[in-house]
Amino acid sequence: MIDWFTVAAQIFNFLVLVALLKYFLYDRIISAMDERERKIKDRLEDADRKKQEAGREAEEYRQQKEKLEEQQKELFEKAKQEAEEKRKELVAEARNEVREKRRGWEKGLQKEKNEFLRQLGRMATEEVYAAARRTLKDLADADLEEKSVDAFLHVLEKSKKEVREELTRFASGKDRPLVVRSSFDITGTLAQKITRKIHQLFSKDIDVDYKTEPELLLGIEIKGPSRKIAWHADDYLERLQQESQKVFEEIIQEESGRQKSKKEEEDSK
Amino acid sequence: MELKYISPDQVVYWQWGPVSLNATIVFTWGVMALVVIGALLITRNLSSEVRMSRWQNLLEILVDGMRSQIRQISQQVPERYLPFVGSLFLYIFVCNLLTIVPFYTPPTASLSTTAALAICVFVAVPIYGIRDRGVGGYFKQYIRPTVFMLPFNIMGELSRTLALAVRLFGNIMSGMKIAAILLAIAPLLFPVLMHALGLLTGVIQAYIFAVLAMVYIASATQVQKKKQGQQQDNGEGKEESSNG
Repeated sequence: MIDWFTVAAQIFNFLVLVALLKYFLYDRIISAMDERERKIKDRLEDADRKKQEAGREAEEYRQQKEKLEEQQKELFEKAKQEAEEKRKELVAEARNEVREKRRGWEKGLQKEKNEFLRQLGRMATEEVYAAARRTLKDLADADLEEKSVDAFLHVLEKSKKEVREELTRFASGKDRPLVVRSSFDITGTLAQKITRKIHQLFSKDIDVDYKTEPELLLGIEIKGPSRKIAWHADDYLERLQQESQKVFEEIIQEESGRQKSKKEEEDSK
Repeated sequence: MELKYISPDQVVYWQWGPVSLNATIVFTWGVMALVVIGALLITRNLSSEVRMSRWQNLLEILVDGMRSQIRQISQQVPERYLPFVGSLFLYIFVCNLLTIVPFYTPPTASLSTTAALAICVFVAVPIYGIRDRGVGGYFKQYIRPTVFMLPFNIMGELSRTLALAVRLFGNIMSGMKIAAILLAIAPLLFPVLMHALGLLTGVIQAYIFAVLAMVYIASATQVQKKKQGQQQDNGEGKEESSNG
């Protein structure tokens, strides 16, 4: 059954086949497969590397983004703060302006008020003065005149010596009598009374002349070149006027003081 | 019954003394030409990219399958066994597969061919064994576990080679013969079934032949490896104990 020549030929054939397949098939296919494997591995490694790189870059970008966001936030905060400050400033400015304006207005008002009060005072005193004047005028009679003379004599007695001496010097001689001015006519006993008193207090050589001057209201006076001795109801009235003026001034000051304290209170608020 | 159904060796096309050009040799050349030219054509422009031709894919699956089989059986790097064992499988596989082609006689149906292949395996086993373990190392396995086992080992070696040859020959030859006989008795349908069965048998036989060849080779190389491993283990153990 076995043909040994065929066996030998087949062995040879098979060995040739093995050699041919090794060269043409296995080596080539395996090298191609290895090559592919290597390439895929390379590609995977490359992909891995790129992925890592991408991850790193992404991380970097994320950090940058975070930083930017933070910066943005900071800037926003700063802007907000600045705006708030600006707002406060503007509000304060506006408030100041309003305050200034109000102060000015209040000052004006106060001034007007003071002026009004002052005027009122003046008018009141004038009225009082006028009323008193009128009253005194109306009341002027003999009795009052006598009383006035008594008062003048009293003043004369109380007058200072050097004033009396000056007046004496001034009236020595007949050309220059000592003029007694009065608001009413001094005659008779009243005139004698005064003349006697002058002679007693000044000098017996002095001539005494009497002059009536209605604008003196109710009063008697002896006038020298620089000094005079006088009694006036006007004096009292003037004092009254001054006093009432003073009272009004006080009222005004009080009022302005109250205004000031009120303002300070508001400012502190 | 035609002559080729008895044995393709008997179909002689040309003869000169003992040198005869019979059907076995001619068809073997045909199969060889087919396989080699096919491989040549496919591997002419191989692609190492991810995209490749279907034929390349087919070959890669084939080669990779054979490699993994060899790796599984031998537990060694498959590349050194692949040309021999892979060619055995490919050759027998193509020989058997072509039985469906009319006027074709598989060379594996000739005892001369299967004997030639078995002899190849018979020779390859000691070659691989000696290359791995040296002459002494290889031949020592014949006197294991005792010297008395030497004749049995030799007989075993011879008988498994004989079995290798006869198994393949018997299967393919019987398939051929059954197909021929059935063709004579029941020309319709039945021969087709038997041919299909023959194809299955042929593929299985190709696989069996290659796997057995690999097992024989592996057994000749592996024993030594295992022994070396054991020795290493022992050596390490001794070192450890001496250290202790």
